Amino acid sequence: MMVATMFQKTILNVHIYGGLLCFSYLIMFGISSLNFNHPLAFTRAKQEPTTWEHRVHLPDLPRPSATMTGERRVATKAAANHAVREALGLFGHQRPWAESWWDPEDPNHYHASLVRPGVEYEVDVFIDRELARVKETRTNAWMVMKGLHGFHGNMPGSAFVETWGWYTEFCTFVVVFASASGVYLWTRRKNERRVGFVLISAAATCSLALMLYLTLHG
Amino acid sequence: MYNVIRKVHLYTGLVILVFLMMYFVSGYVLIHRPWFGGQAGKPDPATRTESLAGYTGPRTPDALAAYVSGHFALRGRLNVPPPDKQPKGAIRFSVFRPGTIHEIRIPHDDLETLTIRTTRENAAGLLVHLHRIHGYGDGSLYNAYVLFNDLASFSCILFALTGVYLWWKTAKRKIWGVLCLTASCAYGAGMVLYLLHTR
Repeated sequence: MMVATMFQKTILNVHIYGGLLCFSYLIMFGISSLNFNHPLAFTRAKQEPTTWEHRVHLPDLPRPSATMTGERRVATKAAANHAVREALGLFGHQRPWAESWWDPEDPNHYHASLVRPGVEYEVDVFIDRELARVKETRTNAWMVMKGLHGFHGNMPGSAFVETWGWYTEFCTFVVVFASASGVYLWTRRKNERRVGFVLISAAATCSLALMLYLTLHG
Repeated sequence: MYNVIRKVHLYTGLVILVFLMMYFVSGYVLIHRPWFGGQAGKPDPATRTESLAGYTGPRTPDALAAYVSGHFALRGRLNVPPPDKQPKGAIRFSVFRPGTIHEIRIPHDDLETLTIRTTRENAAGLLVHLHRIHGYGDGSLYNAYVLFNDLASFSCILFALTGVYLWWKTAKRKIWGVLCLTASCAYGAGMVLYLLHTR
């Protein structure tokens, strides 16, 4: 009996304190998820772009050759974009497809497209002049939260932002545990079992039936 | 008040449990797909050519998409790219349902023939598809699914807020909870502010 009570208390404490540690993640996750279904205009608003310049020394910026395959071309542009990002002291990802390009009329001009939650950078690098002209467009807190939704993996140039990936992992496990432990803790209370059982059965049946129907019949 | 909040926390959890678990589990599969088999076990896409002979309606992407999906029993949500995203020389659209995508292409120089490329997913891919269904407006069942999505999203916020209230009302020694909550809020707010204001 004592062991059962201790076990229940432990489950409850992990449920509570795990939930408290995931508080901000749950709030941001809920808001960003709602935004996926309701991309209201004000949540997608961008600020007016600003332009700034910075001296850069990039004489050996990787450039694709005519004989490269499409995949090699993309990899080369990715390397060029990261070189530009590091030279400017920025962090984030890059877009190595049509968004980044070498100027066909000026071999010293490269356009790099960089992006991270909250900001987009369109960078024009003039290799001979050792100059980068950056057009910076900031978004808003809604877009930042959307960018953090399920964020995992690396954030080139920022070890701090990369920690969010670990927080995602932690909160995923906590939420799954909290759901299971919540059901367990509910079963410990005799007077709520019947109502709860009806609710969980009806909701689970509807949810699973809906998923199954959409999968099989569309 | 405590009992009301407790019941809201409990019963919301019981009702939305399956959908919430689906979203968190499928989200985890989405970000770690190689751990769950990646693309292994997916059947090769099947391509077939069909005829549009007998179709007398407008030759616009939306009209053709509606006709083709009904005539060839392609069940699912229609996705017709806008004109600026259509390829040169062809009309392209797709029909999606969790686990199955039909991609249809009708070349401009032969508007009587279309190709249907059907791709079926493995289990991991099916979960990813279930995770990615968003947006209302594709019939009552998809609207119901997306409504559950919204409820699951809203429930995350509700659980967090009601959970804090319940902890505050029941905890005898609040210091550990305060530390956990402060750490979470500081980290979350700090991350958002960092991304908003750092160059």
